[in-house]
Amino acid sequence: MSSEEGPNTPAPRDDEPVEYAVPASVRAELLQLRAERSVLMAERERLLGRLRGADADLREALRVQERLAEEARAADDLRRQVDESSEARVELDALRRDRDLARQELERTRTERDQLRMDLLQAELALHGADLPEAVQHDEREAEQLRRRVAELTQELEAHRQTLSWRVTAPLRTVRRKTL
Amino acid sequence: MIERELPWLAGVDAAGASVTGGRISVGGWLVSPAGPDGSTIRIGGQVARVHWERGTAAVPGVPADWPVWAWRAEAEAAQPVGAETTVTAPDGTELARTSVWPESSHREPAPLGEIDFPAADAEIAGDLMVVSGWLLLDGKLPSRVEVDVEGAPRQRARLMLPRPDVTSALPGQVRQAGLSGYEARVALPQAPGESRKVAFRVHAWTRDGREWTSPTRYATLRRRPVSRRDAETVQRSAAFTEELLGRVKAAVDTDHVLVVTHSLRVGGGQFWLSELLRHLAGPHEHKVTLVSPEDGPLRAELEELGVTVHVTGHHRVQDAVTYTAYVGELAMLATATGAGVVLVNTLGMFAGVDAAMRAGLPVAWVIHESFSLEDFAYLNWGMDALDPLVRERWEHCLSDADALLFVADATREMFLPWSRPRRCITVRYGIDLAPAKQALYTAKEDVRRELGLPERATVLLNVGVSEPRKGHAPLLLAFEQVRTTHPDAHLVIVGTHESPYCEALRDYVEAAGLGGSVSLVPIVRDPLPWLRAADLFVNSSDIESLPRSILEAMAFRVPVVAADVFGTREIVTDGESGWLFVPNDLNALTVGLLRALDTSPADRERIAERALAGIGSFLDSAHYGQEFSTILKGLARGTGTEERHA
Repeated sequence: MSSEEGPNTPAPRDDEPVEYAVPASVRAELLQLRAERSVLMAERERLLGRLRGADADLREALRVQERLAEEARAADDLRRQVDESSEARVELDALRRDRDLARQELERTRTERDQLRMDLLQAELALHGADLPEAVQHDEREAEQLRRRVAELTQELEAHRQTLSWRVTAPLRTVRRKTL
Repeated sequence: MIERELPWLAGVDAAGASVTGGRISVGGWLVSPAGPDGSTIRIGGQVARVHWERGTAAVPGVPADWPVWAWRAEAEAAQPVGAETTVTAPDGTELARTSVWPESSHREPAPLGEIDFPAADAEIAGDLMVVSGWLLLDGKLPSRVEVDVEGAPRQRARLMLPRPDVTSALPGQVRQAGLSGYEARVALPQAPGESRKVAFRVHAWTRDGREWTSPTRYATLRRRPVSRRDAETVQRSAAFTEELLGRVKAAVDTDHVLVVTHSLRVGGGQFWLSELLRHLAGPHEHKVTLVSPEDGPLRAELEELGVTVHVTGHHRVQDAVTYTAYVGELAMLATATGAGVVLVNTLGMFAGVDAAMRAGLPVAWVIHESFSLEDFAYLNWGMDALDPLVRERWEHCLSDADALLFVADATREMFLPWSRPRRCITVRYGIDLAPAKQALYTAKEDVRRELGLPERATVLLNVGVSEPRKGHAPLLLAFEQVRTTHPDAHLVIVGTHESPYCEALRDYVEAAGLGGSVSLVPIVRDPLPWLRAADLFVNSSDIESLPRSILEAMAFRVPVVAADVFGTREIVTDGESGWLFVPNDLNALTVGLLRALDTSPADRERIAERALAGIGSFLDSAHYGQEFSTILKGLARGTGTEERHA
């Protein structure tokens, strides 16, 4: 027994851990290392979070890209349809204009046809001896008609003078002239 | 010796006439065995002052040794151009009679007439220019008149409008003067508050094709501006309506149709509606509520069909504030009825469309009329009478109504710029075919005997309430021309009544001695016997969308001669299934009649058969009812007009 070991201090048993005093400097370093580890863990978590976020953003961006591509395709289709529709409208307008021109031409043709038919009708009416829709005569034509009319009247007059009635009524005319 | 046996002869040199200060001066010649003493020259019925001179130059065709006297006569007082000059022998024998038209030539006819409206440099309210007046060319009615207004297409004027004032101004001078009126209405669209100065001229043609053009005149059109105060009131009123509508609760029935129409009196549009509702309320089992501002005989007929009728009284379109209030009340009524869809009848009933849109109900609008908005507004409410704010709502209704339904493609095309093609649908009229089928079992001769018509005549028939747009006066004149070459033709106009226009028609028939070959028949409820009696049907109207009378004639297998207007060309192919002529053209109408009358009865029969075959797909009104029912159901169920398109 050593004199340095007191009589009340139990002797350590072989199976019990032996506690050693950790030097303060080591404890301080350990503490620092633990702190650093926490910071690093937090940083790792933050970076992982950012990574996840970036991944999600990437996926979203891909979705948006796909959507935009789809919209672009739809827009192209729409633009093509609009173009086609505009072309169709222009074509329709052109056809309508053509149709209107054709109608105007038809109207002119009908008017000409009608005028010709009216001329024919006038001729038919003349044959029937009916009143004509009067046409103004050119001076020469009028003069010619006048000449014809007088010639006809003259012939008629000559023929009338040869009739029995004219000769029978001659005395009456003589009396009438004397009374005028 | 020769002189004793000479005749009395005279001539008037019409081409050498002149007018100074309204007094006509005209020359001529006289062959007179006793000299000029005692001979009389009258101008316009008045004895003229005459200067006689022994003829030194021989009159062409008169023997040189005959005693010829040249004369120059001048009217003592002003006479109308076209006055007749007569030369009378001392014993009263009329030797010559000639109308004098001093300005007439072989190129240009002499005009007699006035442009009554607009006056030169006139200020006109609105955006429609009405050009009217009267005109005679060489003393006769023109074949056609066109009005040329700057900035608008040239337009043919309606012809032969009654002008009794002209008759009285030209007593005994010109037989046709009483029908010398004309009118053209030219739309010149512009925004409220805007004004525009335009030049205009009148062109006219004689029946032998010579043209006359009036001097140019100017007029300024001005539309009234929008009242800011009214606009604010209207806005408040619309907001109030919306608030009230939120309190109206009713269960919506998609088969329930609210019909808004203009009138329940007797008329074409009303008969159409009655026929349609017979199908909708009958076989298609729609519940129908009808709203009309005007009561009439149609009410009883509709109530018998099970239709609930509500008469509101007239609303004003001349005042935007009261109009908006009316629309608000109608919107609340529409909501409260529980109707699932609104059907509006006629272009002028746009208040019904406006109300449906305010109530959030789908609406189909039936437009029969082929008028521009400017023209329609003038005819119904007067010059610039429509409030600009109401006009704005009208245009809004056209652009936003769920469906615009037309009776002809031509009318649809006219309104297409207001709306979208998919919303504009053509549904042609149908008619009840049973009477036509039954009538064919009755002999034509028997019907004619009953109606007092000549059994062997070629009967031309026109049916329609007589008014200027029906073209009855031009028809009479055209018929007068053709009856000389077709003496067996007999014209029947069914639809006369007491009016100045019909009075003018009667006067003309009497003056022209047409009594034996023209029958003017008052309006009849049932014109079908007349159709059975007819050989040809003539439609001389200058504005029609799709005349039901033509469809009825076709159903009766009567060939049709018709003016080429709007929907007519969609059912008649010229020369194939009838005959078309240019409207408002007397020559064209005359030739139209001639073409039909020149066609043999067998060919006419074939033409009538082709016409009936051409319209067979839509003629039966049962199909018409089905089509409307499909459209209304589609709108009520929110599928728009897709069901119909499908």
